[in-house]
Amino acid sequence: MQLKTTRKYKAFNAYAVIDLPLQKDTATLHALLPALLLHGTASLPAPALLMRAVESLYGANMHARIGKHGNVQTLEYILQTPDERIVGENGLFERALQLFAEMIFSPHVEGAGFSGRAVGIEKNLHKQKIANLINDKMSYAAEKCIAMMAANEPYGIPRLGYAKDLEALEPTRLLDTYMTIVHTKPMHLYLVGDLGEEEARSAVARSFGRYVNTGKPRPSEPPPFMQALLSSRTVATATEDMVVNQSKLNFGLRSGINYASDDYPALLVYNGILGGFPHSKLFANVREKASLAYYASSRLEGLLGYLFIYAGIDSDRYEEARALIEQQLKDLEAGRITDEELAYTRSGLVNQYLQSDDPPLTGAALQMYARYTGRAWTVPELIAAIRNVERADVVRVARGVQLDTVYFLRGKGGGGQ
Amino acid sequence: MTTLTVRRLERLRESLYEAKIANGLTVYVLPKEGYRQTYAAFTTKYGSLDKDFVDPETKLRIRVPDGIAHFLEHKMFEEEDGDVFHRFASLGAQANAYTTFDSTTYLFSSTGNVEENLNVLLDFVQNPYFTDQNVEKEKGIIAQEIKMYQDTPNWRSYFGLLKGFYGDHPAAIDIAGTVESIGKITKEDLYQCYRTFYHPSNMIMFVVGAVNPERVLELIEANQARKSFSDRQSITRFYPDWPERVAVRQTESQLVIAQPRVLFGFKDRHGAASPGERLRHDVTMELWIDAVLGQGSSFFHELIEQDLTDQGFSVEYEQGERYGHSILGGNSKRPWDLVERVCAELERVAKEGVDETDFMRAKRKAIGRFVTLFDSPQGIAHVFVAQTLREIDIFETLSVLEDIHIDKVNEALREHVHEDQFAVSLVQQLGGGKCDG
Repeated sequence: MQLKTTRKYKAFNAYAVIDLPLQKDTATLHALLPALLLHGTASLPAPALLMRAVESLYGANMHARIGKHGNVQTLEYILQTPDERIVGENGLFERALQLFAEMIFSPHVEGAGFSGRAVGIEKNLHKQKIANLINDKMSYAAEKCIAMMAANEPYGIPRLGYAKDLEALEPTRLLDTYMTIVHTKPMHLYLVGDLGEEEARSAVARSFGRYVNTGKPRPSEPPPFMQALLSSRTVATATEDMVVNQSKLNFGLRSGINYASDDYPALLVYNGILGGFPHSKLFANVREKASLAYYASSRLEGLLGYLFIYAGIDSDRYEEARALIEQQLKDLEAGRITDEELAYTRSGLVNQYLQSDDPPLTGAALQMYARYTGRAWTVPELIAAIRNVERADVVRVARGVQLDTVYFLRGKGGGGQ
Repeated sequence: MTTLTVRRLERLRESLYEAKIANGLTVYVLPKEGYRQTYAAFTTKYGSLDKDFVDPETKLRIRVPDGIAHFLEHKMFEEEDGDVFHRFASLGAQANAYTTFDSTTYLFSSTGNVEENLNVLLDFVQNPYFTDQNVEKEKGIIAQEIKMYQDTPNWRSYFGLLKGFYGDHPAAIDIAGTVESIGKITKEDLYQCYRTFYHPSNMIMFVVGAVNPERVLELIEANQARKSFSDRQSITRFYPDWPERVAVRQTESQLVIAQPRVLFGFKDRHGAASPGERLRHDVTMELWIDAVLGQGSSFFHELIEQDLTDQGFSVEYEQGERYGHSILGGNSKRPWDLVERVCAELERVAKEGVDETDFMRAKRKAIGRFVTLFDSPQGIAHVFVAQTLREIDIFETLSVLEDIHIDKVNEALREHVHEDQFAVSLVQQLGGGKCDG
């Protein structure tokens, strides 16, 4: 458990996380668990009862979710309540924490499993949630690109798992698996708010202590496999036709560098020059100069060192857009980087890291990355390293970047009015 | 120097500083201790609704193409000596802008160089630079933005519903316009809109973060003193009357989606009499909607259990000076059954009244959510600028919430839920089975 005492916020935040390996045969089961926890607890055995209890705590926000970070799937629990002194309700935090612990450790059970009815309802909703991915064409194209690029790696497994695997999940196995996870795996708990150390510790002991031995640390687990893989294959290209107004062009790239590497700051700068900002090459050339797109940017998956490029274009301008994007990659490799691009990107990244101090749970994310990669960068270390990145460092990174996958969602006429 | 007035918001542990400077610009500062970032929003009371007005220079009444406020927002970022994003980038700031029905906001957030960034923000928004060439170039970019939104089920169902409520009234126009309407925009149109709506007296500046209010005001005053503006004038704007009844009961479109999406709701019969009334109305409407249909209501969970919708089902009330309506709905395999169930529930509650416990839950939730809004500089800026330009004092929200009685909530529900104010917007699955109403 970690506590950050601060008067900065009007909310009290709690966040708990359990790391799970991202694997084909368990991804769907894990992904279904959060919804089952929200379906009710021992003392509030229906979703409406639980949600009503949560909202009655001055609009507290409490939920569980499944996350995906590189090759890891995470079970995450989130609680936010307004400061009880502001809303004038003594004991609000303590009651919220009790409910939080109950959601985590004491779900509604029937016999030896989750309630069969709950499992049926949630499986159906989960199936729909997976199908709904197609509703958002930008995310759909991004997921397709990832699935192609990392088909033989854990990272290629979707966060929500597979619809076809839902059928076989039984209430008993679901509960058994969950109870084993929650009683054996290390759980990392973060509390942020205007709380004293003693106050926080005893509140956690009272709430969590009802279900687990909070004094006894669980053995930590070996770090997950989290390596920046390179590929020996040639660029894989796929085109999918769909009736949409705007086509989506997505690139997947491998850098061979990840969060653990000394070159990680240079990789951040590389991504920033390429497409992380409105001053970046993709925005300036694909959008502003060529008017090909409204959005044209890149994103870095830092744990694995994968880069993704996104652009929304007209279908008949695919060749032009693809060539222009590839030209930006070549320009970076050849060191055609202006002083401004380098300087703006460094200061933009520094600003982002300084700003990361404002949201309450940034510390939890940094520790997560440290657990997964064995490298514990602090924000000041990252900032100092970013400030020292030179053009030569960016070019070194660029020379290692391999284009892996090009996925094109090709629009065939628009959806009619 | 103009004097700052300060309002102490004891319970929220916040202080709001305010000053109106000589050229008519109103400046607000909300200092946040302990925050790294400063977030500044420079907002004009000008949005997609403002398409019919009198040009202050020629005194002629003009009508402009749909989507022009948003087009202007895009074009402000280009200056004769380059792109404004670069200037912010050189100062380590992130800049952006957005256009709504009734306002346009330019913003930055940064952890350093706050004073320089404030000057850049003021200077670029007060220096229009439009050429035939740069206007043409932007059309391709915005056309892509429009196409992106057209593929989004939520956007399609939302504007379909507004079309149903308001028909030809500008409240139903897509903020970005259409590919056709933006095709007609010229640089002269942009200058005309600019000189009408970007006078400092039609704008506000809101700064939240680790700043000294006196310093911020001093800087803004000095910046403004270097520029000359015409004498302030009130702007003559024309809007059609608030429509008496809904224009189209049912609108439909098709997209490639996993299941149909349906949004429906009721339009207000008329606008509120004053800004104070509008705030009370807003709060009252949000309370009953959340109490009866929100995620904490039993009814919402019944809908889920009956497989009529999913967790994305949403309920909200939206209101401006020229529109007001509820928007309910989400994904549904049986959209018409969903609409029928919700309407039946609303009829029941209209007769029997909102449950007291649900009312208290919704009220507490609204109080809590309002308080925690202050933890997000961006969130508070967004709400503050929009409501302030509508002359609504958001800091009254807490006392309005606390004073509200369940009778008022029941009254508002009964007044709102009326068949002749009802409309539905359905997005069907393209290539999927058609569900008829």
